[in-house]
Amino acid sequence: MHFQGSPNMAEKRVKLISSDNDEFEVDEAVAFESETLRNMIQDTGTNVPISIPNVSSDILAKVLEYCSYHAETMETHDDKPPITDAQIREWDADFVDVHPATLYSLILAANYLNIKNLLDLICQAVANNIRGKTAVEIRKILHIQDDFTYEEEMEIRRETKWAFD
Amino acid sequence: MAFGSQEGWKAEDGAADDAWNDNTPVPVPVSVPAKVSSSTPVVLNKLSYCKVVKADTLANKNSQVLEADSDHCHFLELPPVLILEIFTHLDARALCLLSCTCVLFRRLASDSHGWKNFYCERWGLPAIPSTGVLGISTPGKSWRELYMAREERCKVLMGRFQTDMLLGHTEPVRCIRLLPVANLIITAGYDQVVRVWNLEEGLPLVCSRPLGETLRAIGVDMELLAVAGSDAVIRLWRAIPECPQLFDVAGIWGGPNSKGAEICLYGHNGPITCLGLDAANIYSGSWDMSIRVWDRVTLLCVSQLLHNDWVWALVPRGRRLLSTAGSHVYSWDIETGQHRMREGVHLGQAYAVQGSYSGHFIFTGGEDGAVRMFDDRFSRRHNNGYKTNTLEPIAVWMPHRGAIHSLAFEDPWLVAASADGSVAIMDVRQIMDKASGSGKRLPSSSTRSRTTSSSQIVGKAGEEAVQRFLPGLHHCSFSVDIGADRVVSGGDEKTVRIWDFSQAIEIERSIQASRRSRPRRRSKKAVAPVVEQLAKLETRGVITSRPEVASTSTKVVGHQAASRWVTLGRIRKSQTVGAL
Repeated sequence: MHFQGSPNMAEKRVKLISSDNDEFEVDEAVAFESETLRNMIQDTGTNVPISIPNVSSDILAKVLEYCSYHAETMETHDDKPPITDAQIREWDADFVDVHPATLYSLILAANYLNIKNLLDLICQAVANNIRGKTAVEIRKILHIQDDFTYEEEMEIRRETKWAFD
Repeated sequence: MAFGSQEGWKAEDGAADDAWNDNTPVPVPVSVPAKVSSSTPVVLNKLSYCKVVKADTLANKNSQVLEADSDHCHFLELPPVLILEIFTHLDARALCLLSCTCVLFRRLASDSHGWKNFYCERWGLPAIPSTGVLGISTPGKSWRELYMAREERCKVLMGRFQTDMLLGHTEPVRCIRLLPVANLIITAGYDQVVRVWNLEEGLPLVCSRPLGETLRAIGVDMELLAVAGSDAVIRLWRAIPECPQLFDVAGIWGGPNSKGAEICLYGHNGPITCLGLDAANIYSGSWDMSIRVWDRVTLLCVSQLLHNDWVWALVPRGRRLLSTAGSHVYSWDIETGQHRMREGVHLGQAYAVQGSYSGHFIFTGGEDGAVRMFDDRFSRRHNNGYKTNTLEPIAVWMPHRGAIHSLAFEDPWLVAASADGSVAIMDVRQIMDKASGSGKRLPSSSTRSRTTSSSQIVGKAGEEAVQRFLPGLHHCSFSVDIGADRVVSGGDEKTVRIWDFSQAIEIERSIQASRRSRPRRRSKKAVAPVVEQLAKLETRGVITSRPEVASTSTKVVGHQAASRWVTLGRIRKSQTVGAL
C-alpha cells in the first residue's frame, strides 16, 4: 500500500497515527520539523508507527502540510529555482487563512509537537487578528465575557489611559 | 480531536490553572468522527501531498465535522501558556486593551516578562538611580508599572519647561553627555577642559586641567568616562564609587597610580570625532577613516572597522554599531565586523547618527539640514539581504535652516541640534509603529498633540512634522543630549543650555487647578436669576465635595494632568460643564 512517488527512495518514511486512528506516512525530514517527533524517532526508530493521541486527523494533516512545505523549502534543487522569502510568506499567509477554531487547534498541536516556527506563525496570525481592535471588539472575536465590576473597569481604564488616546 | 485531550496539558500549567478554571467553559465532549476505514493508511507523498489529502474522503469529512464543531472551540480553551505565547506577539498598546477585556486576560497580560521586553526594547535596562525612585529592586513595582510610568513620563517634553545656563567654558562647547543615573552632565570643547556638572542643581563639580587638544567626543557610563579630540588620544577615567563626581578628572582623588587615574589609549592617526561605550567595548571613530574597538577590561584594540571617508559619528545599539562617514551611514555587526552601508544619505557630510535601543531604526542628521530615519531590520528568515524598502528613508524631517550637528534619542523623542542654534524635538513613535506593522490604526496621542500644540510646524509634502522647537540664540549648537526629562545643548555661545521639563507635570497641575476655579465664577454670572438659586446650591455642593476630591485622589488629578495638558482647551470646557 506504500505510495513512493518520491524520487528519493533512500529516505526513511515515518508512520504517524492520529487521535482518530488514521495512519499518515511522511518522509523523515518532514517529521523532523517537529522536535517531539524527532526525539521519538531517535528513541524508537522509524519502524514503529508513532501514535499522536492529542491531534486529530484533519489537524495533523494541516500540520504535516506545513511541515512538508517547509522541509521542501530547505532543500535545494538544481532544476528548480529556490523558493523565495516572498513566496514562503505568501504560502504562510494562505496557510493561516482558516477558521479561528482551526487556528486554536493548530496552536495546541504545534505546541505538543513542538514546531517552533508553526507556533510562531499561528500565534502571530491570532495576534494580528486582535491587534487594532477595541476592547469590545476583542471580546466579541474571542467570545469573552466581561467579568469586571464597574470599579475594576474604571481603575483599569485609568491605569491604561495612554493606550486609549 | 485536539481539544479532547486538554486535561493532560492543563495539568502541566501548574499555578496558572486557577486563573484558567474560573473562566473556561466546560469543554464540550467531541464526538469522534466515524472512520471510513482505519485499516487504509492515508499515504502522504511529499510532492503530491495536497492532492492526496484533497482526494481523501476522510479528510473532507473531518473538515466538515470541524466546521460544525467550530462553535465550541474557543480562544479561552487554550492553556494559559499558549495564550501567553500569543500575547508575546502583541505590542504594549494591544496588550493593555486586552487586559481590559476580562479578569483572566488582565492577570495574564500583567506578566512581567513581556513588559520587561517592551521596556528594554525602548529604553534599555533601567539603571538604578541614586535616588532609588525607579529602581528595579523597589518592591511593588512591576515591569508593567515601570513601563506605564515611563510612557506617561514621555509626554513631559510637550509640557512647560524652565531653562538654565551653565557658564564656565571659555570656548565653544563641542560635546555634551548626560549621565542621569549619577546626576551628572559632562561637557568638553575647544577650551581643552572637561567639566563635570551636577545635573539637577546645575552647579559645577569639577574640571580637568587643559588637556592640550580640542575635545570633540565624550563617552560615559557608570564605570567609565572617555574623552577624545584632535590629538588622536583617548583619555579614560574609571569611576570611583566614593567620589561624589564619580570621575576624578581633576586628578585630585588619590595619586597618579590610583584606580581612577587618567589612562591614555593611542592608536588612531587622525583626530577623534566620536566615542561610544557598551558593556564590553569602547568604540572610537576618527578622521583616519576607521573605528577602533577597544576591550574595556584589557584596554587593547581588538578590531578596526574601516570606512571610506572621515568618520563623523557612531552609536552602539545592541549587537550593532551604527556610524556615519562622509555622507554614508554604516551598520556594523560588532561580532563579525560585517557591515551594511547606505551611500550618500545626505548632501554633504552626515554629521550625526542615532539609533533606537533595539537597533531596528537608524536616524541620521547632516550638513543639508535634514534628519532621515531608516529601517534597519532584516528579513527574519533568510539573513541574506535587505527587505526591499529598507534602503530608502522611511521618514524625513527638515527642521532647521542650518546643518544638523548632533542627534539624541530617547524613545519616543528624537532631538536634533543645528547650526541655527535651535533644537528640534520629533516624535518617532508613530513612524516606528507603522514600520513595524503593529501600529494602532486610530490616531494616537502624538497626532493629537501635533494638531493642538502651538509650537507645531508642519513640513512640506513628504516631510514629517516637528513637534516642538526649543529656541536658541542663533549661535551654532554642536551637541545635544536628552535624559531625566531634560534636554541639554551646547555650542558656539560657550554656555550649556538646559531645558528642564521635570516640573512640567506639577506646573500643569497647578494651571489646571487655577482654571478649574475660574469658569465656575463665570458660569455663576451667566445664569438667569431664577436659575441662580439652583446654581448656588450646585456650587455649594461642588465646594463641599472639593477638599475631599483633592485629598483622596491627587494621584488621579496628576494622572490627568500628565496625559492631557496639550488639550487644555478641552479640559476647561469639560470643567465648565461639570460646574454647571
